Amino acid sequence: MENFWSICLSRFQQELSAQQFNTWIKPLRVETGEHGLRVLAPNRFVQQWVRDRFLQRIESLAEELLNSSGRVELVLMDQVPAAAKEVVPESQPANQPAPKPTAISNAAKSLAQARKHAPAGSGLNPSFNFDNFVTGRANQLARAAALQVAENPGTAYNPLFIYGGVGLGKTHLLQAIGNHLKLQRPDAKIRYLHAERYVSDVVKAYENKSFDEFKQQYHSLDLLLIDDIQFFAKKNRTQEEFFYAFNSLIEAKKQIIITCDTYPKEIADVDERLRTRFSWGLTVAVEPPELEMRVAILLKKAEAARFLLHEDVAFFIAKQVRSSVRELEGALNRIIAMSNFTGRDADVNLAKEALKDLIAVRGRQVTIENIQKTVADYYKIKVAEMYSKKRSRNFARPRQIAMALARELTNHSFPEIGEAFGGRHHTTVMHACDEIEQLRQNDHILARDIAFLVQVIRD
Amino acid sequence: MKQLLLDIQPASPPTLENFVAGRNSEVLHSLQQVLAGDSAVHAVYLWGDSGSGKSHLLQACASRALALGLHLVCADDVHRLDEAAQIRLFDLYNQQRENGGLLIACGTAAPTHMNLRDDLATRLAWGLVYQLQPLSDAEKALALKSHAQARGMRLPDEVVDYCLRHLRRDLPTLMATLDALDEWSLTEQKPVTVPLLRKLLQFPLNV
Repeated sequence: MENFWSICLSRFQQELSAQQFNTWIKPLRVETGEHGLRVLAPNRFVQQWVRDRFLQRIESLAEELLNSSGRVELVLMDQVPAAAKEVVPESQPANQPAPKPTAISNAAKSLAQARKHAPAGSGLNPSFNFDNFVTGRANQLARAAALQVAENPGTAYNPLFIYGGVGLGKTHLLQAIGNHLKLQRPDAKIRYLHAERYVSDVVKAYENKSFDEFKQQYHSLDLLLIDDIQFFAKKNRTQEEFFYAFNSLIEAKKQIIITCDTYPKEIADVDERLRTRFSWGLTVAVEPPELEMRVAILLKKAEAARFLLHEDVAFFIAKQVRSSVRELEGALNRIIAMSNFTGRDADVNLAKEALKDLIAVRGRQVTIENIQKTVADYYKIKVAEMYSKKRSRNFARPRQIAMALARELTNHSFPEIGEAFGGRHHTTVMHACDEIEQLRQNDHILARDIAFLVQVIRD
Repeated sequence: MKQLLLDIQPASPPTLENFVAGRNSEVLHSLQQVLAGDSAVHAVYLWGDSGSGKSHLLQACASRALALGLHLVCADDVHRLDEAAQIRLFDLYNQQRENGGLLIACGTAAPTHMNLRDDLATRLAWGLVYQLQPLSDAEKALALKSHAQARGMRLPDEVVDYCLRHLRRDLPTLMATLDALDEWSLTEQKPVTVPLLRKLLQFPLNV
C-alpha cells in the first residue's frame, strides 16, 4: 500500500505545480479500508478540494496500479494536525459572523514576508512568477516570448515589447521575467519600474543636477523592465534620457522589456526615433482572456488565497466579469469577504448576492420626474395626470403608486413630494403611501407591478 | 437678547464605532479587517450617493490608521479627479501596492463608470469594491439618536419622527438640522420639541 501511494505521489508531483501538490496532495494519508482504498484528508476543506479535482485521478491510479476496481473512499482524519489547522478556514456555524483570522491573514503575512526578502531597489515582487501566470490562447505567445527572454537575456529578442489592454497581466509577465533571471543569476542587476517612476526620476535628477548618477544607475543594468511606456507621452526630457539609456543597454547586449497599452507605432506623443527602436526586437500582444481562461484564473487566485471556490461559481463570476483580470479578482475578493463575513458557503446564490452591485453598476440617480414618467408610461396615461386634480381611479391609483415610489426611492420629504405632484398637501402623500403599502400586502398583481417598476426605475 | 454660545459641544468626530451601518455591516467589517492586517486585500473602493456615509468611513479609517501607525492613502471624491490628479492617484496606488501599504478611495459611481483612465479604474476595481446602501428610515432615526447622544442632547422621538416626515432624508441634512436645533435650544434656553423645530425651520438653514 505504501508503495502504491509513493508512486501516486510521484505521479501527482509531475502533473501538478509544486504549490498545488504541497497544498492538496502531500497532506493526504492512505490506508486499507473495508471496501478497498481509503484516503484520509486532514480537514473538510482539503477533502472537498480533493473530491472535486483529484479523486478521479486517484481512482484511476488505483485501478492501474492495484487492479482494484472498487471506489476510493475519501474520509476525514480523526485528528487534525495542528499545522494544517492554522491555515485552513474552520467552518463556522451560520448566523455567527465572527471575524475569521484564518486563511487570508496568513496569505497576507506570507506576502508581507516575501516582500521583506525582495532585494532592495530592484522593484521586483517575488509573488509574480511564471508558475502562477495563467496561460490561455490570449497570452500564450507573450508568455513564450517572455520565458525565452528570461532564459536568454540580451540575445533572444531585444527589446521585447508587450502590449495590450489594462489588467491583462503585462506587469505579471515583466515581474516574472525579473524573478526568473534573479533565480538563475542572483548577481544580475535588475530593475523593474513603472514609466511614471522613470519620469519622476528624470525630474529629480534634473533638479539635483545628478544626471551622472542617474545615467550610471540605469546604464549599468543587466535587465531593465519598464511598465506602461505610454506615460512618456509629451515628456520630452524623459524621452531623451530614455533614448540614451536604451541605446547604451542594447549596445551592451543588456535586455530591455517594455509594456504599453498599444503597439509601438500607435503610441501618442512619443518621439519617432523611440517608437522605431521599440519595434526593433519582438512585439507581442496580450488579449483579453476567454471564458475558460477567466475560470482558470479565478481558480488559481482562490487557491492562492486558500479559498474553496466551486467550479460553477467560478464560471458564474467569469461570465459576469469579462473585461480585465483585475475586475475578476475584485469580484472574487467580494465573494471571499461575504463568505467570511456571513460564514456561508460560497455557492452561486452567494456569488449573485455579492456581485449584485458589481453587475448592476449603472446606479442611476432616481428622480421624482423619472418615477412619474415611468409609472405613467406603464399605466398608459399622460405624465400630466400626475399633477392633475382628476380623482378617477384610473389616474389616482398610478399617481399614488408614483408617490409611494418617490418616498421609497428618493430622499425627498412628504411636503416636497406633494409639491412635485401638482402642489398636493403632504398628508395626501402620507395617505397614498399607507394605502399602497396595504394594497401591496394583499394584491399580488399590484405588488408584482410595483416590483417591476422599481426595477425599471433603478436601472 | 440672544444668548451667546460657547462652542463646548464639538460634533463628534467620525469613527468606525459611531458609523450606523444598516445594510453596510459587511463593509464595516471588511474595513476593520483590512486595517487590522487580517485581509490579503490592500485597497478598498466605496461608492454611493452623497450622504451615504463615504466620507464618514474614509475619515474614520484615516484616524484609525493614524492611531495604529499604518501607511494608508485615502482619496475622496475620485469622480472629480482631473487627468493629472488621476495619474497621481494611479502612481500612489502602485506605490502602496509595491510597499504593502493600504489605499481606500470613494466616489459616486462604480470604478469603471466614472470616465476615469482605464488603468486607474481597473485598479480601483481590483481590491474590494462596495456600494454603500442607503439607510432605512428606522436606521436614520437610530443614527439621529446616537448623534444626539454623542452631543449630550435630549432628543424626543416625536422630533425624530417630524424630521423624517418633513425634511429631506439624506443624513447630512438630518444631522445638520439636529446640530442647529441643539444650538438653537441652548440659545433660546428651551427644550428640544417639535414646536421649537418648526420655528427653527422657518429660518433658512445653511445645509
